[in-house]
Amino acid sequence: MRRPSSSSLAIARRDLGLSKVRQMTTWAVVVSLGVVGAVSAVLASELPGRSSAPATTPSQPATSPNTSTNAGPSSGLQAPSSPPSSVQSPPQTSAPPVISGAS
Amino acid sequence: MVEFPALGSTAVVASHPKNLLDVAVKVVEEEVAAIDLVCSRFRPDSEIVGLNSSAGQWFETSPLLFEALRVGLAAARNSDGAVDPTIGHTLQLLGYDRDFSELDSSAERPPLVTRRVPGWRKVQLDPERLRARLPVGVEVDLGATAKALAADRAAGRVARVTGGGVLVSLGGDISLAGGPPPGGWLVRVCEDHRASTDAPGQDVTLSCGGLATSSTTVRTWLRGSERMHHIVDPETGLCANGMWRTVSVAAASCVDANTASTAALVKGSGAESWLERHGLPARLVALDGSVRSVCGWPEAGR
Repeated sequence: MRRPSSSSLAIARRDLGLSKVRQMTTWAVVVSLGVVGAVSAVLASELPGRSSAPATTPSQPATSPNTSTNAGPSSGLQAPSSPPSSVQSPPQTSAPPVISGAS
Repeated sequence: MVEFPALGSTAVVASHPKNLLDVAVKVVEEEVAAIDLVCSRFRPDSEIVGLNSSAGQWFETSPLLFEALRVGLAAARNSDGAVDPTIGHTLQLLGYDRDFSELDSSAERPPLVTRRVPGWRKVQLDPERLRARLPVGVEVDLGATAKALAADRAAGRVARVTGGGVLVSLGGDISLAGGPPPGGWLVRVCEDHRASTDAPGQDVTLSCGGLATSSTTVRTWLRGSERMHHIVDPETGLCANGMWRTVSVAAASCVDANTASTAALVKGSGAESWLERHGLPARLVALDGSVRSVCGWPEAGR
């Protein structure tokens, strides 16, 4: 049985080293891409006009972040399903109108 | 239709069909009494007085006060801070420190300075334990939203209990629930809810949702020689001083309508575009009395 020469051993070690470097580089690239993607997603959601949440959503208070909130449940101001109508003809009822005014 | 005193103003209740009126009135009276006991700044036994005097520590609330606080904070968020419940101390500085009928214009008061109100974001709510915490020095006033909340709660409850239609007006802020009468509810939109039915204004019909009117011409008082009103600009801590004197808004609820009408007075020149962005039909009366209609509010003379 022939023993490998010292030069072929060196080549084998070099190839093994290069393989490990390639492997580590691949992982580094994958991890970096993941981190960059996550950071980009966070930044995108924080930019004005880019948020998926209402622009007026408050930040949480500095204290008791897990148990307290100053935000009520809200989906914003809601328009009526039908707007007011002008009175085109005399009302069908004899009842006087209800007054809406400030108090 | 029945009228009776409520929350320092007048309640009006109407039902469809009319034979539901007695039940409707009873429900409205109960809701009004409950909200008054919880949210009145001028009752020493009210919960909100207890909350305001406990600033700096957690305060256990009733479900109704918690709901009123959540609604008040949601109004602040939905109005970009224009309707801020942390104006309690500011209102006192402006002279509104007791029941409106007992205000004293001659009392000695310090000069007014521009100072932003503490801000609604500093109020903490703990929904799991039904408690709230105000920072030291902060007092809340829910006058802008509690009345509207009471109207919405009462109208919704009447409709659920009776299965009929109801109109509840508390101080001119109107909530509708259930089926309306044929042709809708007839409402005259004026600047003052105490106006007579032939006062300047506009008749409209409504079938659902809420309608609220806010004005700088009503609930005014003298602070020395200076006239004050109760619409506070949170940015300055002073009376709002925009280009509109009265704004009426229709929305899906009385709370949303009241939030928007108050916010529009504070926002001034930016009010029209803001209302359009939210799709809220509104009638705006300028300081000179001219009227603007936006977002589908029917055009008419004042």
